[in-house]
Amino acid sequence: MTVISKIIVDPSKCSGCRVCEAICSLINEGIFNPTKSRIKVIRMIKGSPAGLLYSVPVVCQQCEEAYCQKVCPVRAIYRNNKGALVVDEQKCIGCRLCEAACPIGAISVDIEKHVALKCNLCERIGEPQCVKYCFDEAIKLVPADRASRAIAISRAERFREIIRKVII
Amino acid sequence: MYGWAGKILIIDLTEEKVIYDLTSKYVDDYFGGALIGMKLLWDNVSPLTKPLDPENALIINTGPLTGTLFGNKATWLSRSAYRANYPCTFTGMGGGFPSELKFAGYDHVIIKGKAKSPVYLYIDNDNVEIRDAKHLWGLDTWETQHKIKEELKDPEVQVACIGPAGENLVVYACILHELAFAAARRGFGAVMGSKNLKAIAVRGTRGVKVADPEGLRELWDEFWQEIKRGDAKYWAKMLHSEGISGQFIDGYLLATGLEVKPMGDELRERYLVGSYGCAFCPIQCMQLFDFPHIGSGAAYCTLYAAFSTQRMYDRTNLDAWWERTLLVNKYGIDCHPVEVIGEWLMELYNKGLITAEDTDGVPMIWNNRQAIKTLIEKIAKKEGFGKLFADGIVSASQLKGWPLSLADQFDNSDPYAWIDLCLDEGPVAKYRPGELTRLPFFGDAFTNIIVFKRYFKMSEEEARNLIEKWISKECKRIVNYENIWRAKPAKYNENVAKMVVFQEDEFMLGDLTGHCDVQSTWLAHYGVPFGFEHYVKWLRAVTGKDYSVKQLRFYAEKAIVFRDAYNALCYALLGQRPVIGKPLDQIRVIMPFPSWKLSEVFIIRPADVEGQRKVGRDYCILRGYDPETGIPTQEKLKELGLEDVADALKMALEKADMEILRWAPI
Repeated sequence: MTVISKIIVDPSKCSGCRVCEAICSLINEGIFNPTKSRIKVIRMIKGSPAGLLYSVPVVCQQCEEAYCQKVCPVRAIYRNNKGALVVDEQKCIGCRLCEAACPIGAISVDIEKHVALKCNLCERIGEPQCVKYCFDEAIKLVPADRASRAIAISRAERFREIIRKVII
Repeated sequence: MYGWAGKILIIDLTEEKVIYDLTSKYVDDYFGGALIGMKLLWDNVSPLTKPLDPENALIINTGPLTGTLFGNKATWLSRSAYRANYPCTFTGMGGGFPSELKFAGYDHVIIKGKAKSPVYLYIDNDNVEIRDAKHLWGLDTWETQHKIKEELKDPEVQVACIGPAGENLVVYACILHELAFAAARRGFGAVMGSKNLKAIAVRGTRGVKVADPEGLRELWDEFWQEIKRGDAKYWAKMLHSEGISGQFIDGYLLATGLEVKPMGDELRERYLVGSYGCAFCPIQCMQLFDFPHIGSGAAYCTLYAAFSTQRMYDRTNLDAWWERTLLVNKYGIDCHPVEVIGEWLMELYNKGLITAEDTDGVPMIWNNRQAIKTLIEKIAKKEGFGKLFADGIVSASQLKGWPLSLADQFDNSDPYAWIDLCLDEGPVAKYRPGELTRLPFFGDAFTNIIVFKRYFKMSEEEARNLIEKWISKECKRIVNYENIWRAKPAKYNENVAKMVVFQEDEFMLGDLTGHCDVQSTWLAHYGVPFGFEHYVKWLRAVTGKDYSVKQLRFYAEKAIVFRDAYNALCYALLGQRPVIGKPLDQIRVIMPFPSWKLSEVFIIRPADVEGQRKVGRDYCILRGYDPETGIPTQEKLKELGLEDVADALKMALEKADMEILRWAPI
């Protein structure tokens, strides 16, 4: 099955406000709690101590060859008709193998429900809410067959900026 | 309980004891945030306490909206070390710290006593530890946070700490969190230092439970549409992408009508890295800058302090500004007093009243980086001539005999403190002519015409109409009167006091709920439409309780009256009244000036002294204060359910010298 749409990330645009974390935990878990968010904004400090902060949103890329799905011993992860990999909370045993296998750290385990938490592109609502409420458009939802070009376009703008600054 | 985390943490550093209380005990009578904080202060701190005594308490208050998408503020509350006669004051701080405290399960933290040796607090959900901080003592604020995160092996722990200035009890030391979030304006860094408390580290994983998640999503969407597409979009976009640099540097500067190069341009093009701000707020109103030859960091208030006034350096001297900004952040000092002291010394030097020998061999030359750096380091470390300034500018003048008339000072502090004073101490300051330049918050809206022209390519007329529309809307909302602020300067009008009271209440509500007032209330005249009605909706969805606008105003008023009564009690017991250093007609208005020379500064003219006094009287009547003294009346206190405060105040006033308390005309 092919991936239909996916969230692309441009860390250079992320201001690190974490509204996505708040809205994700609110929509999916009915609580404000970043530890229950399926998207995580990692704030990194350049040089330490201090100076500058860089923020990177970490969110499931709905991989074609999904390690989380492969490694799951109880086959709790399936792909829905929109191409999102979804955790079946009834089947999940909270073994954390998916968390370990994920190459980008996009899965976590709920410490209360003991099930894996991963982005399902807001299956219930039909539209990823983190994307909708990203002030800087650092995360975008694009059709999978156009994702690479969308990333190239956003990088090209920056590339052009750099070239312009250097040459002029 | 929804919204409120549920617990109050009481830490006694002397006894090394940690106990808990329940927030639910207080919610019905005192709602939350700063009002519960006032109650806790009332129960824990005697009015005779001095700010740096171990008996004083430092109280951190979050509100029911803190940690949700609708707020991320903690209001710090204590007796201020920075003000004459040490009133009880509030100061707000954002960042990731306030919500982390809620996530750990606490609405309020009270820190009492004094540790034997330097310690820091580690709050990790239910585990609260008082840990040794001897190895952190003397480190700057950024190093301290870094070391604590390494030690606790958790990069996401949120730390609020003091720098060397707080350790050395400099009365305007601040508490700093992350790069530049500060509880800055009231000298609480010194309060923390006096307790031998270096830092508070918090980590919480519990989250904030809400009553109506679906309703909250809709309310959030409404908020979002307003800041993305509604009238608030200009404000949101400007604050987000340019920050205060756009509004204050260029806006105020260009508003002077002088041929000046806007500073914002160079700053943006060469040094701006990106936006920065509190957790869970899309506005991100601070900015990250990287000066490769000096260092990198973030700025908000320091920009305002520097470029609107040019106290210590020319506004084109970005390097001096940035070095100063990084130093005050790292040493943990409030930037405004430093600017005022620096300006004073430079003016004294310029006039030949001091020489380099008076300042440890470094001549206080205006616009000189070495002079600025030395000044900040010496103050923070309390070395050499820096010792003079540890207790503020007035005591330095008394010790040395340097004329204070050259200083841009107020009370024991800086002119910015005078603005805070209006917010802090109620009618005492409100009585004085001139204070209405700040309240209601409409005074500076018109400088934004220039900003709107520049950033949104509007014509002058369009921009003016837009701003007038918003102000009229706001006036109408408050007193059903449209034109109040069009006639400048403010003349007496019976609606002015009503507006002051209304805006004060709404502003206070931010401190009660944990909602950031920059996000809404404060900027209503910039087209931001959020007010009491929105608080009602947000609170209903978060807490599940139905508060009416009337109830919320009751709580806001209660907090204001409680604070004023507590301070009146302190003054009555001490037989003192806040001393005003200078008549207000000599205080500078905070606007950009082409030259830093005092002779050329803009002076607030008490255009209508009698009118301003009438406003003061109106205010007292509206609030239920005695117009003669500005002290809350017995009836008012009882009406608000503050019987014990009323009794204590009555007893103190019977013994006090009423002549001292009576307000003396300037």
